[in-house]
Amino acid sequence: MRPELNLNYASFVIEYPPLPPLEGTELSDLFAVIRHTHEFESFRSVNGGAVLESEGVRRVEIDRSKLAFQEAIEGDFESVAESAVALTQTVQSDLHVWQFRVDQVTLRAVVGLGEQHLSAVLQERVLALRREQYAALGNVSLVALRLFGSERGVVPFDWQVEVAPLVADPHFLYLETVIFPNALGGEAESVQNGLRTAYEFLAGNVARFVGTFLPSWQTFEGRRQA
Amino acid sequence: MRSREPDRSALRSVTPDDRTRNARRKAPETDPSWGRVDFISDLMRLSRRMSDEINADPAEAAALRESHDQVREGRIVSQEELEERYRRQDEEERQ
Repeated sequence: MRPELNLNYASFVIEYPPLPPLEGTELSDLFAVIRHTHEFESFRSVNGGAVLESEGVRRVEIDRSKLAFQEAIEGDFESVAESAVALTQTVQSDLHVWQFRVDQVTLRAVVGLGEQHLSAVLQERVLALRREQYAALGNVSLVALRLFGSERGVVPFDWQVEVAPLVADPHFLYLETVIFPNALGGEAESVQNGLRTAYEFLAGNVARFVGTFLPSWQTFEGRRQA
Repeated sequence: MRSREPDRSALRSVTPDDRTRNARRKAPETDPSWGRVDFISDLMRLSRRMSDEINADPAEAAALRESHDQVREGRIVSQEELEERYRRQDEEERQ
């Protein structure tokens, strides 16, 4: 995996057949194992499951039938992906999860593209709506796109993409890709495959799509290819 | 009397999703040390937790019920009266 886009967020959810109720010290023992390899500020039991968390940085929810991982990426994506796979392996082996399904993978990136107000670009170059049509809504401050689709290749998956101006500063482009793989897996590597697929879709298909209506994207692409 | 300082541990922690989601913040000017918290839901949670704490203490729960009854029945009609009552309670506890 050779990331080129600066991602700021990665998350995934895996689901597995419900385990027997997690009892006694099972979860705290698991935390003790995980903390050898992964740093978390806190651990707490919640409704028969557990939440491991470093506030604002990494959060993992584990219960009888699901593991949900999310991380605000501050370093490189590849390390986050490796760390996520290792953590999945630990949970899988400690709780005896023999099969699971990657339910969804989400990646987000924020890209600075210069002076253009990206809401205006989307409004003028992408949507065939006249300015007066927006009036029905009242005061529209930003325009964004959300698209849904299905990839029917060797690895089929459904996807959801958001192309938007960053609300906090509309001169930045916000890209979010969520993929929903349709395959069962038993190996932690399927998490890595899910992350890789999501990244390739974001850096490939989504990037090409954005380039069709956003000239400054070409400059950005040139810089990141250099 | 119990301290009325907000207990930060009662607040929902800020998750990576909160930090990176592309959404309008309800309180963008929020003190950075609090993170980008959703103020409304956090305050609701905080008030529920304070209420749970008060109800867990029979004496305090009784005092709170008494205050509510007095307000409902019109025996206490002003904020000043309530504040005066709390001030007196604090003084009694100090003594």
